[in-house]
Amino acid sequence: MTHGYDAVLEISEAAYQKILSAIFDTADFLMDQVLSSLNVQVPPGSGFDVSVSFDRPAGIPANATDVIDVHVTLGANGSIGALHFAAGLAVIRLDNKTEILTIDLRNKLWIAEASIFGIAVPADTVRHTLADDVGVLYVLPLPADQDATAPEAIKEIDVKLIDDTSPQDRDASAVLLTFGGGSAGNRDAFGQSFLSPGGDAGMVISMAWLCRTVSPLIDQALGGTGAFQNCQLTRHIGLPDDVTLTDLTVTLASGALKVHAAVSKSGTCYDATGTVDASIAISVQNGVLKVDPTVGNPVTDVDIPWYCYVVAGLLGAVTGGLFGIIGAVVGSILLPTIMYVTENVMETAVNSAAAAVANAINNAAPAIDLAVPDVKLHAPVGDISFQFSDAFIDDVQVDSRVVPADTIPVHTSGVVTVPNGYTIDFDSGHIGHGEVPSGDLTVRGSGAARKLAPVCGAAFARTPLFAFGELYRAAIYPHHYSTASVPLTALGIPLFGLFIPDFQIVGVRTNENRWGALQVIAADSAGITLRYRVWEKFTPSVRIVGHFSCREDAFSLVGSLSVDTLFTASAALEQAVKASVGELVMARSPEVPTAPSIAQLAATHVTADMTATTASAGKLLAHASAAIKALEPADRRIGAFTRVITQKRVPYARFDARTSGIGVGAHARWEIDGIELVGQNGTITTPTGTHVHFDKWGLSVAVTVESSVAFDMQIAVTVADDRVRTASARQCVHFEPTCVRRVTVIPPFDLYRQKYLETFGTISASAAVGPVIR
Amino acid sequence: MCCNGDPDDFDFERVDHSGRSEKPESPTGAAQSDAAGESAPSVVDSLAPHLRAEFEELRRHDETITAALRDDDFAQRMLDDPLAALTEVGIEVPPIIKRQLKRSSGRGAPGMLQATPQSYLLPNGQVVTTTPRIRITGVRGRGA
Repeated sequence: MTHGYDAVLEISEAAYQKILSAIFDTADFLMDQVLSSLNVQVPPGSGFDVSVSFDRPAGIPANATDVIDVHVTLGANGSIGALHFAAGLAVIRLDNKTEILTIDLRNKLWIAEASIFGIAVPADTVRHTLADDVGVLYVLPLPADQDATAPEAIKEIDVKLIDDTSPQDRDASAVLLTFGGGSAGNRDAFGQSFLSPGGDAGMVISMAWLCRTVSPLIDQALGGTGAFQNCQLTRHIGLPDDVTLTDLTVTLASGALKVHAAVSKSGTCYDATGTVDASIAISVQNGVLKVDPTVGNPVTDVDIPWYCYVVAGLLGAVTGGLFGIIGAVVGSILLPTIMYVTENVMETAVNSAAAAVANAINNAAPAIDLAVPDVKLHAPVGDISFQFSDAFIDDVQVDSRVVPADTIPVHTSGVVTVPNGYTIDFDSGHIGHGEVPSGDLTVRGSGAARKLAPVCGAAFARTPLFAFGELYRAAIYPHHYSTASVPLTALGIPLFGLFIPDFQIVGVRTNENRWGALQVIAADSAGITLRYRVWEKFTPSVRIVGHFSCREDAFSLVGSLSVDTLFTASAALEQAVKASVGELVMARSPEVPTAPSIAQLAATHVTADMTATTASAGKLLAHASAAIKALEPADRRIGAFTRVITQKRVPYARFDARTSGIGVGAHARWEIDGIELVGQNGTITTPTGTHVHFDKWGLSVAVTVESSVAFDMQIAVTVADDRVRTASARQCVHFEPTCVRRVTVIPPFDLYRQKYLETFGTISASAAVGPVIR
Repeated sequence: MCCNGDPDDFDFERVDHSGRSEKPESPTGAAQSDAAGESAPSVVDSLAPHLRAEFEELRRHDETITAALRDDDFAQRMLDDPLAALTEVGIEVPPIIKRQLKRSSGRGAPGMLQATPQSYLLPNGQVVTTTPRIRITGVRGRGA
């Protein structure tokens, strides 16, 4: 599916709608700045609705490529008018470290139309505004280092708009990623999106890149000195206990990652080999990828020279000896090896691979001037985050949700319980009994028949949205607002005197003309509890966004193989096994070690009769197996290997002035600790003696500090536009010279096996010898 | 010493004090000499002197037995009933060994060795089962 690229990020039309809605709403870019440039003034706070299509529109030149078709209705249900443009996507390299996915309005604007109150705006005016005044829309900045050689670093980015002309119409915009050591694939081979219908975004990681990335780490972990390359073993590797790893391959087959491992061990009177296969499934839990291996039954072959067999026969001593061999080969080496490769290495590798791209997107904050030269209207940069939502293997596909940042200043927000018969004014947060002047919502009725009634000119709209934490203002525009009451039963289920909310979000137009949202989170007989957020209306306001951050190593594997790795055993796994075998307790062995393995804990519950009966042996394993499978997948592993990393914090921070109600010609005046930052760049010394270098552009400033100690500084900004609308904000910024964080790592195999045997041990059973606990 | 701590088990793996296994790779079954010229004990050393003598007598037919074991069916018959298999290829089994093999066939060793499935619990809750495939070979290892 990657057609030769290392990874492909596909973004759906729906995701573009979110991204463009957020861009257009930030600082009222569309409804104030763009429309003003079209000589159109609209009522403050008018909403809009963006619709994006990747179907090629009619009437554009044959040489137009990667065209995105955008329709915007202005005002409620298009009451103000409509804007339609079609333009080409382009990736622009900003410098040797940064590329950015854009909509190129200056060079690739193919359609530009607008109508206001039913009257067409002259085409030249629309074209001039979009191509010359706006110029470009920055959709997605991505760090891409042209000189990158490491496989975890993005080297090149390309874009391909997939316009599927088949009946399935599976269109998407594909961002084609090439990492260090790789080369570009075939961009013309993309004919149909891999995204699931309704999906926001997804990423496919090529098997070739995964192997290129993970092979050196597996080799290093096994002490292979180059024996493991391109996901396969090229020569044997010696493992502990005189066991030899004779085969290890990771392949992609039938939509799953397959791992095959084989070991051998020879001793007096035997040559033993063991092979095992595992299939790996990937899921997403709480935004984190989890690998769930299914291990096949191991195959063991034991060759015994005839004379040894005869001697053993003379002594009557074959069976137990065989189990010793098989235990050493299978239990102590083969199974820890396959669990190590599947669960530990592959999970960390796949997670890190996906995180490499997601972090690159989520952390992209270009330090350079993103302002487009010679344009009048500087469009805000797309500010979004990608959150893993699902994963498949074929190659390795990770689906994501696209979550635009909420860039609009919030006027009021909170969680409040509104008693029956009371009214809340969302603009002020005040609650009062009965009709409150300038109230917005009254709880009317009683019991399950209660209603949320808009009052005093407020209007509500039910939406299909549920994630309150991911809400941004433009998301609540395109819904039907009315003064009709919303029944409580429409927002949840009354059940035996309880109320179970479904967390549906209700859009709000307050009677002071602000946009807002509420979500019922509980209800009892006395009142209704809801969370709400009301955004600032079209009045001049500004807030400062930015901080000193820690450098996130996108690939957590790098430098991770270390003996100082910390291991935290899975307490849930231990509890599960103890509890399950505890049901079989008849007598406890007094010889419990001070730090027993899980297997040994189980052994304390193995009674005398169990050691001799197949039924009891099988029962022990069945109980423990069922208990473990009841755990969350994340707990079904021996534990976590982590390292604490202390890094010097990057002494650089970028601060943006996010405005609302500030229009054309906006400019900013910045201060740090009361000292104005004069000029485009320079250096100041704060009252505490800290040297601060600054670079300014647009409504942003980047600062670099020289300090080895923690300190606080106050940063302030005042913005104004051509119409002399002004707003100010200030915020305290803390600088800590070091970053301390714990990262998941891949341990060396020896360490993993040691912890496997120490904490979990080998729990086996057979009809011949009953449970065997080591 | 014995695997699984069972004193009745045969010592398939002799272990020295360093914890590393010895590798007696001699085609005769005797351990190879180390640098000092001393020999580690072989499996035959486990036998009483008169039984050892009979065993050395049997070892004279090594080539015949090894050749016959290249036939998988014969190897299986050797696994099931070594006394019958040896007799089948015309080997006169010495009397004490013959008696012992007859007797031990009722004790869970040659003649009774079953490839018993062995199950293992994994940290992910899976139980995997391996059924060892045992093959009687020539002097040393598969295909010998």
